[in-house]
This record gives sequence, structure tokens and C-alpha cells, in this order.
Amino acid sequence: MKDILLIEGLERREKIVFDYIFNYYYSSLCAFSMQYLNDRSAVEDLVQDFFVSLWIDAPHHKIHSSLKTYLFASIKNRCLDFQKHQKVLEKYKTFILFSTKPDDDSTDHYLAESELRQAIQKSLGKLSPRCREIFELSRLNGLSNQEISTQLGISKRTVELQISNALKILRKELVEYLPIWLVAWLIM
Amino acid sequence: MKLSFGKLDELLPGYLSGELSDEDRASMDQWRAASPENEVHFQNSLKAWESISLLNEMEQFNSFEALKKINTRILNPETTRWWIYIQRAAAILLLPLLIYSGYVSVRNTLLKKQQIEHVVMQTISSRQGMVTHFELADGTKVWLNSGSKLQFPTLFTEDLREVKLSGEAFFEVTKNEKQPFQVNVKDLNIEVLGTSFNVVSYDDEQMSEVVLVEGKVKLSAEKDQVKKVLGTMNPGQRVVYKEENQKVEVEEVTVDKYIAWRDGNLIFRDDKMEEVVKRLSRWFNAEIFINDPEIKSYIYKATFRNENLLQVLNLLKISAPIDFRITERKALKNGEFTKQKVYLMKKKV
Repeated sequence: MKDILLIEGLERREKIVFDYIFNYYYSSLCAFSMQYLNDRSAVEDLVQDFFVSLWIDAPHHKIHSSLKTYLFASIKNRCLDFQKHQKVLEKYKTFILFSTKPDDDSTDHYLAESELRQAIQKSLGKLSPRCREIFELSRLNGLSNQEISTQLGISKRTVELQISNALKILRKELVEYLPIWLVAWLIM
Repeated sequence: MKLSFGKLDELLPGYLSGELSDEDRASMDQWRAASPENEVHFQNSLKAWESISLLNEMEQFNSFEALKKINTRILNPETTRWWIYIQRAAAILLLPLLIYSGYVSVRNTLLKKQQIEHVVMQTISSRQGMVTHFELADGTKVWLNSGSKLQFPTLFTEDLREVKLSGEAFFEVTKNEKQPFQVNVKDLNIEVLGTSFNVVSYDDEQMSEVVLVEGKVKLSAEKDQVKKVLGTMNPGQRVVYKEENQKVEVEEVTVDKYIAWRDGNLIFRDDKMEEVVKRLSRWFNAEIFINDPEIKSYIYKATFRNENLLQVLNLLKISAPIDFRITERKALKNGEFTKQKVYLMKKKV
């Protein structure tokens, strides 16, 4: 759906538009917030609060950027506000300051769940069947390289080479889709 | 230690899964720190590595469940707020409303009591040659024919709406199943729900007549406190009740003829001259005598609209082998006049 249509619908308080936006972005906004607040229920409350205010004050939310940028930027601000109110660990704080810097000018790299799923599916399709199998055992099933080599009856070195190959291809395919904040989230 | 990109890629899987030896891990860290270019390369690999984990993370959040929660917050609060105002307003209004309605109901019962005490019987009579139209307290419409009278209460407070008729009247009764309407004529009772019908019962006659236009009426005779049910009438029926033997005669009729008097019309359809004369004399308040017995059974057919007695008699003369003679009205000593006397006779050929 066109961004402008969504924004207009939201300003007119059309519930169907609101529901669409909510379903589309909710999970990714929550996952995004997890890098600031490592607390699942706190994250959900925060994102839900934001959407409630978005609905109630819809005509007053002037959205000049893309809808996606607006949503992620708003959530980020709320996360930072939330942290100010919470006594957060100093170490954690410095980490956030460090990690939030790069994403300021690359907000368009944010992905909704469906978009990410599509990008991953597309990228995995480019791998050879064997390579994909090994990568999925590692990432989807959470097996260690050693466990994969035992299960498939191949050497650990072969496993590592296949994963290395997969990364090479995925890196190329996914790099423009994947958000920079993902890195920050991973390090935590 | 210098590492090529190729060598590094081989170390990545072990590094990312944490299965690398300390030595290899150290050389990887060293490589990452060596140049920004190396770090970007590493981070891109990391993203590719963790993209599936991110997807898994997203999948942990159920937007549909969350939307349900949101909806109770954004839809109910408004209606709840709205309801609270209504409730508050209702609560505020309730007390004066209760007081007022209490006042009204007390006043009404007092008023009703007063009215019941003040219910009086009222009589309306129709002068000769005139039809009187009026409504009773319950909305029932009454047409009272010439020389008839109706007795009724100013307010129907009993279980039965009872009126007493002498003469001829047409009723259009307001329906009220809880309070049936009853017309009493001499010893005949006509019980009604909601209907329209014509009643004829003159005191100088030994019979009463009911013509039902629509609805249903129940007839019963009451003599010396003994009630005898005569039957139920259907629309289009004419019942003639004879007092002497408390018997009824029923016939199917065209009702128009019997109710036309309401509009000032006199309709005769195959009526014997005897009957015609009876109705004419009532209508015009005159005494009409038939001198020739042959004329009595003469069958007559005519419709009169707003004609006076003389005009009617002239029409009679033209349309039937009948002639007439009128006597002048004489002034009596008390200032009243005698009734007009009309004599009908066979036309001389």
C-alpha cells in the first residue's frame, strides 16, 4: 500500500488503515525496541502505548517523512525516554549511545517482519540445496558446527566452508535490506 | 598477523558460532580492528548470520493479540467515557424525575377519584328532522337520528362502557378489549368490542333492529334481571328483535340503506309503503296516514337527499300510483302546533 494513502487514512482515523499499519509493523517495532529495553513485556507495553496515542491524536501527528521512518523514530524516542526514567546500567547506556549513532541517517533500512521474511527467503533460494541445509541447521535449529558435522556425517571443516559460502551469498543479498541496528541488537 | 578476506571467511562460521580456538578468535578481533573496511565486512557477515534470529525474534510478537488489547483501549474508552456521561446525566435527572412522576401519579389518582365522583349521566337528544353527531369520552362516534336520545356517562369508569339508546343511532365504537362497549335498548343489550353498527329501537314500537356494518356484536336480552344470550352478529346482517317473544329474525342486507340517514339521505329499496311511511313520518315529524289498504303493501324504491316533506310527497306522487293530501298545522292554546297530518290515497286514474 502507498505510504501517502496510509498516512492520509490514519489522519482521517480510518480504523482499517490503523489495523493494517499495526499488524504490519508491530512485531518489527517490538524487536527493534528490544535493543533498548531487554524486556519483552515492557517493549510490548511501550509499542502499544505508542499506537494508542497515534490513534487518539492521529490528526495531530504530522508525518513528513516516510511512515516507516516516522514509526521507528517515534519508537526509538520513546525507548530513550523510557531509559531516562529507568535507572539503567551505565555500560548499557554507553552502548546505546554508540549504537544509535549510525542508524540516524539510515532509517529506511528498517524492515517489517514480512519484508525481512521475504528477503531471507529470497536469499536462501540462491544457496545450493546442501549449503542451505547446513545453514538452516545452524541458524534455524541452533546446532553447533560440530553437531552438524556429526549429524550429516561430514567433516567439521566442510560444514564451516558451506556456512562461509552461505554467508558470502547472503551478505551480498541481504546487506541492503538489513538494518544497521541489527548489529547493535546482536552484540547485546 | 595478516589475514586475507578469503582466510577470514573460513574463520567466520567458527567465530560466529563461538567454536573458534582462542588463537583464531584473537586474530579475527585483530583483523576487525585493523581497518573500518574490515569491520564493515565483518558486520555485514554478522547481519547475514543473524537475520534469521531477528526474524525469529519478530515472530515472538503477536500483533493480532496485541491489536485486541489496543482495541479495548482505543474503542472502549470512548464509549465508556460516553456512557459515564450518560450515566451521570441519568443519575442527576433521575431524582427530580422520580419526584415529578410521583407527583404526577398522585395527582392523577386524585384527579381520577374526583372525576369518578363527578361522573354524571348525560342525555343528548336529536330534534325532529335533525341528525346529531357527537363523540363520547372514549372517542366513540355517535350519529343520533331524528327524534332519538342517548344516555351516557361523562366518563367511562366502569368495566363496561354502557349507554342507553331510545330511537335510532349509528355507532363507530373505539376498540378497547378491556372495556367492552354496550348499547342497551329497552330490554336488548348489544355488546361490542370495536365495530360500527346501526340500532333502531323506538319506544312506540314492539321491536328493535340492529344492522352491523363491521366487526362483531353480541346480542342478549335482559328481562327481570335474567339475561338471555341471543347470538353473535356478523357484518352485513340485520337482526330484528321482537319483544313479545324475545325472538330474533336475521337477514343479510345491503347496509347502505340503513345508515344513509347519517348523511341526511333516505334510501328505500323494495320496502313496503307501510315501512316507508313510518320512516318518513319520523324523519319529518309528521303524522302520515294510509287511507287505502292496497297502498300499504305497495313496494317502493327511492332515494331522497335533503328534500323537504312536500318535495318527497311530490316525488312519491310522480313515481307511484299514490296521491296525497296535507292538512294545515293548527296552533294549540299552549302556543305549540299540531303535527302536520298527511293522508295517502290511491291516485285517481
